[in-house]
Amino acid sequence: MTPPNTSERGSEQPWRTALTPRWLAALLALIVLVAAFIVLGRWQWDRTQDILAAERSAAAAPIDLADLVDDQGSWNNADIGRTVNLQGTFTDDELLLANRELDGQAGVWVVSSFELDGGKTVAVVRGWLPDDTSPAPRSRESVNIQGVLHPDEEFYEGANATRVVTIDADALADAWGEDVIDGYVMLGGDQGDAARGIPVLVPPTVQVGNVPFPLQNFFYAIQWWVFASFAVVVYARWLYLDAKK
Amino acid sequence: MEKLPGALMRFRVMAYVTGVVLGALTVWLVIGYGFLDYANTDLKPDLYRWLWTAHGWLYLAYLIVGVDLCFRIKLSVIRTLAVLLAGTVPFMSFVADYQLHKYVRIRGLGPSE
Repeated sequence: MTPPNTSERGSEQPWRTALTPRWLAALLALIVLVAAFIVLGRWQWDRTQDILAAERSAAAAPIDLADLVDDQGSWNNADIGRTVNLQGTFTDDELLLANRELDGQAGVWVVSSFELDGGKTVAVVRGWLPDDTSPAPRSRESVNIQGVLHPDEEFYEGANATRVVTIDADALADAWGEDVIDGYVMLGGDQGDAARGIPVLVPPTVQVGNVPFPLQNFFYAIQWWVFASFAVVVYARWLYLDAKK
Repeated sequence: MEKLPGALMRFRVMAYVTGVVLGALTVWLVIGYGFLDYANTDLKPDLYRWLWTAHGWLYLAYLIVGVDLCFRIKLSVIRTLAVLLAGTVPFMSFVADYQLHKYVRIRGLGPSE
């Protein structure tokens, strides 16, 4: 910018030009425009927040496991940690996975085969019991249970070569002689009672991942606000040029 | 006006880039919503959404080089606003680019074409 030439008339003072009727009208138009852009930006900003809230509440809401699983017994990794409802019955098949600690105490995980209404089988971790405790028999009636969906445990290759020590759909399928849905469900609900052989619930080791951020709406919000500040810059530049005339 | 050719070229580049993106998006919008039923199906690809976001930023760059050029050639406020708005109307940014070059040539402000 060139320094103002002091020999010119007084209207070179931008604020004096700004108070002329023409530029007051321009100022009014600028204020309306900037206000509109700010409101439009707020609207996209609110949409960003609303979409995030809706995605988070959808991810937190319980869902039927059957709705997540495809025909091959697989499900989407994005559903790890979701609370799932299971409608069906426990079958005879049950495994005790050794070397499982709870609060520093040695014990086993009680893993039961659960047949969903509709025929698919899923591994349900009923909970933890100390060593030398036999699990109490589970209900044989059709039940509705709730738990947290976990992926297969993958500690190391060939862990289950001689006996099942980790939860793996293929190893469980071999042990139980039928297809098993990937991963397992960590049972939630009543706390259990080790003394009576009722497995103590194990806290979930996974949680729901972050929902995708609505970057597009966020960018739209930013863009409206950048446009608003741009309008101010253009107004100021025009005013300055006019004042110099 | 020693830097005018640079400003003209910057505006031409942005006018064509935003013009092509906006034109393509407009055609895509008509096909997508008119024939592929984007409104009621999941057919809308991510690229389509991202191109609209990209167009927002491209338009901002168009505004900056457009205002810069209009200031340099001392275009009137109304004409400047018309140039800036041309970036939001499909295929109008090409017209704005043509008109600006013509304006510069007729007034002998600098080399053009």
